[in-house]
Amino acid sequence: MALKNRFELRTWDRPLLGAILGLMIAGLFCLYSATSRDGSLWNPFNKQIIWMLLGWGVIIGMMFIPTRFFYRGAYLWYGLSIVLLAAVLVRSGRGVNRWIDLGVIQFQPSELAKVASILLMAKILSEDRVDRFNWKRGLLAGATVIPPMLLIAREPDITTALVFIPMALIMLLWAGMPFKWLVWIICPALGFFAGFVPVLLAVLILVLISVMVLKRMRWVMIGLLVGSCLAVGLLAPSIWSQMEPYQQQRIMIFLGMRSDPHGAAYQVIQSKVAIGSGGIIGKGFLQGSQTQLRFLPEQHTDFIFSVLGEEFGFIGAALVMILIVTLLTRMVYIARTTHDRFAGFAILGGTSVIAVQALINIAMTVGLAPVTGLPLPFMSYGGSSMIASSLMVALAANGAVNRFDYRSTRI
Amino acid sequence: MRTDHSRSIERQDIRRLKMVGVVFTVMVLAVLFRAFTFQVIHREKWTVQVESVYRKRVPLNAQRGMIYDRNMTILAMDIPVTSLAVDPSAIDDYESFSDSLSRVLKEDSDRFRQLLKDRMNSGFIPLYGDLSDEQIRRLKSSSLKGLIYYKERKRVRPHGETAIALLGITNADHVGVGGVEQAMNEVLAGEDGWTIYQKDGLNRDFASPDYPAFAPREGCHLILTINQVYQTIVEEEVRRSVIQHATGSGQAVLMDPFSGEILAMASFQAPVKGETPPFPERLKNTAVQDAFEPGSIYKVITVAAALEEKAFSPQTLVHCENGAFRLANHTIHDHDKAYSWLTLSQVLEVSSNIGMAKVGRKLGEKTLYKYAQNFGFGTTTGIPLPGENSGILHPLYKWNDFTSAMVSFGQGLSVTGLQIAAAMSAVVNGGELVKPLLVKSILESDGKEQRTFEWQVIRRVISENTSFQLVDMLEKVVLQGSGTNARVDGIRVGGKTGTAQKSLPGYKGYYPGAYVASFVGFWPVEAPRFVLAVILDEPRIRYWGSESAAPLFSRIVSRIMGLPPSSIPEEDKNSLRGKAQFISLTSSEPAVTGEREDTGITDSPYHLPPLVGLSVREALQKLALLNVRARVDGSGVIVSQDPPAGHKINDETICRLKARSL
Repeated sequence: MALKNRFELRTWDRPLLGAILGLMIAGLFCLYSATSRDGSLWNPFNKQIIWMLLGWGVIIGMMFIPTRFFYRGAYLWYGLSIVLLAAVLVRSGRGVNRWIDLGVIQFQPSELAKVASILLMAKILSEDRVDRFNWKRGLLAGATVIPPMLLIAREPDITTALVFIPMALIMLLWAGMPFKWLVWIICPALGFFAGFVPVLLAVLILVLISVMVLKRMRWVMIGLLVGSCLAVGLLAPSIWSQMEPYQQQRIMIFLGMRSDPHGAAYQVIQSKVAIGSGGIIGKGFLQGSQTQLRFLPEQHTDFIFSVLGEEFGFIGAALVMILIVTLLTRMVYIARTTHDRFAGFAILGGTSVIAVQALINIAMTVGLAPVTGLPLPFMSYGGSSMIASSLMVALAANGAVNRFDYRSTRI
Repeated sequence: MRTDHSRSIERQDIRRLKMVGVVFTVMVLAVLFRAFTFQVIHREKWTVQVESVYRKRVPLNAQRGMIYDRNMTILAMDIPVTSLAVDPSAIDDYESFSDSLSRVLKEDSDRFRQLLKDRMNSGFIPLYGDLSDEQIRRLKSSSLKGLIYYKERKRVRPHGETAIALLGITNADHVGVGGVEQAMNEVLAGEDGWTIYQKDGLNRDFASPDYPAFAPREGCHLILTINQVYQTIVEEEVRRSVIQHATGSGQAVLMDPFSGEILAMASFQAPVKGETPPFPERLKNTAVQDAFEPGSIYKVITVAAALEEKAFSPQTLVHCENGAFRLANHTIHDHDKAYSWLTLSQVLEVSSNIGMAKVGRKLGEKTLYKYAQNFGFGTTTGIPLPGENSGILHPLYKWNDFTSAMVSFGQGLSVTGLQIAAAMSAVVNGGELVKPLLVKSILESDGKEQRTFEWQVIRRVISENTSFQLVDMLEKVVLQGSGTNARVDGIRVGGKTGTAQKSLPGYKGYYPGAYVASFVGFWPVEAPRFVLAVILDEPRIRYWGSESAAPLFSRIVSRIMGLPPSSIPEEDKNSLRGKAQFISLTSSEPAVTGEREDTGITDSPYHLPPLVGLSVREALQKLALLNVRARVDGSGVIVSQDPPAGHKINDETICRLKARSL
């Protein structure tokens, strides 16, 4: 019975699947425009079509897989992804390496690690049948993202590692984590930036202490918070010096501390020019000079949204944003309405990853975020990202189908 | 239980989700608003911004035109080369960089060190021009950082140093220095255009169709009147003579007396202590830049004036005072012998200074001056070569009796090799002074003819009749006079030798032992097609023009006409038939039969004419007119020719002839 439902298109979540399809088609148009000079058979466009077909295979295939398969395998996937991440580090030795080469294809284990972490966090958070937030379980769930984050940061791929933080936070918040716990994230973050100016750090600490004393917080808490803030603040310069020069530069440029119109800021300005010159209706498919003359850096991967903005204008950009918002709200809706708490957490985790990536990517192309290597889900060229995004929406598609399955039980 | 649970999730977390949703929505709206401001409100600003920041004005270099000879042989052309520069910011230690670079390029490291030392904070240091493929390969496989390869153009002359003084070179900025390259620089260089390039994140330049571009006006090609083959021959022979006679320098001008086209122009500076002179010296085109006192060769002009003014005929007798003639407190001597009565023709043949002085005296200084001017002395010819010397022809008011006597035998005025060749052309071409031409035509970069330079008569200087008489007299100079060493077997030549005394700076009067040996002649006598002036400056071995310049003339003529070199028997100066040593050729080809002569292409300028049955001289003359070199075996009447009549003539054609005395 359960399986039978899955063959009925009625049970498939059409807004969700439609939004994915729309994004993929928009992505293909932009990709074709960005790589149209590459006439080889295995050019990014043709490869991306294959990745999209594989992505659809994942989405549709996973609708037929019972949720318990993910639930039970969560530790296994997680362990596997940690091994793969470690393998990348071991194999690469020194230098930047984010890839595992399987001969025919290469993939980034960090993308799969996101999905595995989501599943494990969802499993841990959903194991408790009580609605009240269990802080021990919350801490454990939060802790599971730390090993993959550290391994990915070692690659080094700091931005991908940082994506885990909003993902974990959103899942924990949904699990019932008190909002004031966010202070534990926000204060050390402030401490990091204040750390470069000792006076600022001192002011921050003083303000923190006075606020907490006024709020009558416990002295232990005050001590821990101030301690962590101070520790991060004092460590900040050495952390900073550990960062790659390009990362430092990007952050400084974003913060307006340095302008470098010929270096890293170049990409953003070219992107802004591309988007800005697109106007309301755009220059037309294959007509964008910035795109066609390859002024846009990484135009088929990270800056694909700029291609969209240039060739299809504000209307095209807004349409894609609408598609993204549709996809995300639909995923949240499914997460909310699914009967399965595990699936709910997992879907929400996936939603948050896609949302963060899409937002940061688009914000980057319009100069609202620093230049990071985050892809635009379903649109940027890249197999690992496509498969990982597909896996995350597939959880939602699976959850959506399950809502029609009355016999579906929690495990 | 499950239902309760899910409901409770919904109830509890809807608020939290909404809060996250609000944050997310704000972010999406911020991004959308940002895109909206870019794309709708500030659209102009972004379009303008990119132009001011990323526009890079890039000159589009015009291609420098090629230089061809009259047969479209390339004399100078641009080729693209890859050069090496370095970005010093990528180098840690310039000394070790220089060492490794010098190992890779197999060049001296001091040079790179010097280049790098002072400019370490610039962004681009050109280090090495024209890398070979092998060097590029080695550089690319080396671990050197910061190397920048860039395209450049290099001027090459396929014939090496041949005609370098005539052509000139280009400097590092691709501007002509010396010769035609300098004189015609504007025509050759064209006009650079420019375009706007955009740079991308990798600092690569991109052409952008959004910006205007002004295409360069490509340089025009020049077709010179020079014949590369003749030029090579003339240069080789001048060089040989300069070394043989230990001369300071030598020059030669070969021109077509009718059209004024310069066919070859050579200047050669003798090596100083075994070393080739440095570049500025080698670029000196002495044939137009240096003036010298012409000496006896100028007697031709005096005689021309005498005949033209009808004051003398070739047979008019002149008394030569037995070798010493006192005039205005000076004594004029003849070279070796003492002559008494000579005809004007004989005066020229033996080159008697006294005879000439008397002719000059009779003509008067005004007439001498007028003819000197009319023949083009004292003024530049306007040939497109830098630094042309006008020579010195003193204004008439500075002349005295002695001056006019001096001028009549070629002292007291100075001329250039080009002027003397042009004057000789006027003497033999029927009496018209033609403007020397060096550039035949200018071609557009696409090969279309832009401008052609036609022969240009400046003025008639003497009548045709006078010209014929002079041609006759000048042949006699070679046949039986002072110019016998200029004889060429197989062709009739005429000309005049000269041995001028030199005045040197800081020395009053003429410097003993310093002479300019010269010969200016023409051939063939029947219808002169070539005029050749050869000048050897200060020969220390055999300084007489008849002993150094005349044999040089003869050798050049032989080689140009494809004749065997003539050896002039010393003991038999009056015999035209020397014991010439012909190159022996054994031809197995059968004699040309009558059938082949009926091919009907006898008059074609592109095919060999039938020569069998003609005398050697007639045959050589025909071949000479066709510009075909010849090798003759035997003498008398031609009995066989190879290749046969009707053979298509090309540059390599050498006609081998067998002759037999009948």
